[in-house]
Amino acid sequence: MSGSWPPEDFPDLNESNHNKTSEATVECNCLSWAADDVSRRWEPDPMHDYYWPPDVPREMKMEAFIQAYRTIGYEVCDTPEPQAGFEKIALYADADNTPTHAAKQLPNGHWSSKLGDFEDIEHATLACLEGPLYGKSKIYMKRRSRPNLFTFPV
Amino acid sequence: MLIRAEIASLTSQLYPFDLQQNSSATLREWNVPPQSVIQSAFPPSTGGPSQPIVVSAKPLEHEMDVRPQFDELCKKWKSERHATSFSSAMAMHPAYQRIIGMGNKALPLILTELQKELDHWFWALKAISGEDPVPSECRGKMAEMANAWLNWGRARGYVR
Repeated sequence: MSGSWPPEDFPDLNESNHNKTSEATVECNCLSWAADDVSRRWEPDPMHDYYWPPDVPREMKMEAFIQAYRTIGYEVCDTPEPQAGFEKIALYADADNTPTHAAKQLPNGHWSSKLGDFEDIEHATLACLEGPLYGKSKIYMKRRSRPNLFTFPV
Repeated sequence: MLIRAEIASLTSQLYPFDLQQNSSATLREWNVPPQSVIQSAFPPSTGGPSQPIVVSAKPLEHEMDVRPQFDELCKKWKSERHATSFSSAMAMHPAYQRIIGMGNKALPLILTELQKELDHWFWALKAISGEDPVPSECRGKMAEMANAWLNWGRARGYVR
């Protein structure tokens, strides 16, 4: 295990299926990480301390999470398989379908996750993080890939 | 700053009726900042003070004693944290709830902790104080949220 998170949170995570990609921070969380908004934390918290997209219900419900990601162009899709021209995210939920986590797909088909206030990692599959804390990946969303502004044709 | 008003001699002026028996009354329960002007509810004609009274406050010894308890709860809360992204889950930890239960005594300790390390203290600060000094545009921006609360705490003498 390469990170500082409690190992019991992710029983299926092992040295061969993930890499730590940056150090722990509280400045963003998995929801904002998946949304590529690392400047702030996203959370529909009842105290209204954290950012949540305007006009989206502040509820720990999957429909609210789907609406939140719709505000940045994502739509629900059928599978987590990589699809040319699209970027994808996955939403995890527990047995009661309460959202627990969000991951974003990398161009190589792997996934990137911020593990709470701990490190962020690249993991080979969505199943790597399934378990007692995050439950299972249940909803997949996609949007058209944004052009890379730093790549110029030669 | 945890406060005790040095009001033993003033208590009878402020509270000429039943409360005057309580010469060690603290103002903490009423969330009175360390330097406060107290306006008595009782007009001079009923035995109240003729002028508002400036209260000079300082920590009580037993209030300073909450530091070890706070430190223990804080350590427990941090060490038993799971990889959740949700502050609402973190705030439900029994140690965090006990810190909230400490009330105003915990405010200077929480703010000092927040000065040392960014963390999810906003729920507790808001729950205890009933206030929210964070501008809406700073929601989710941890450093800016912390600064807003620290400025709030400095204005009330809770933290330097």
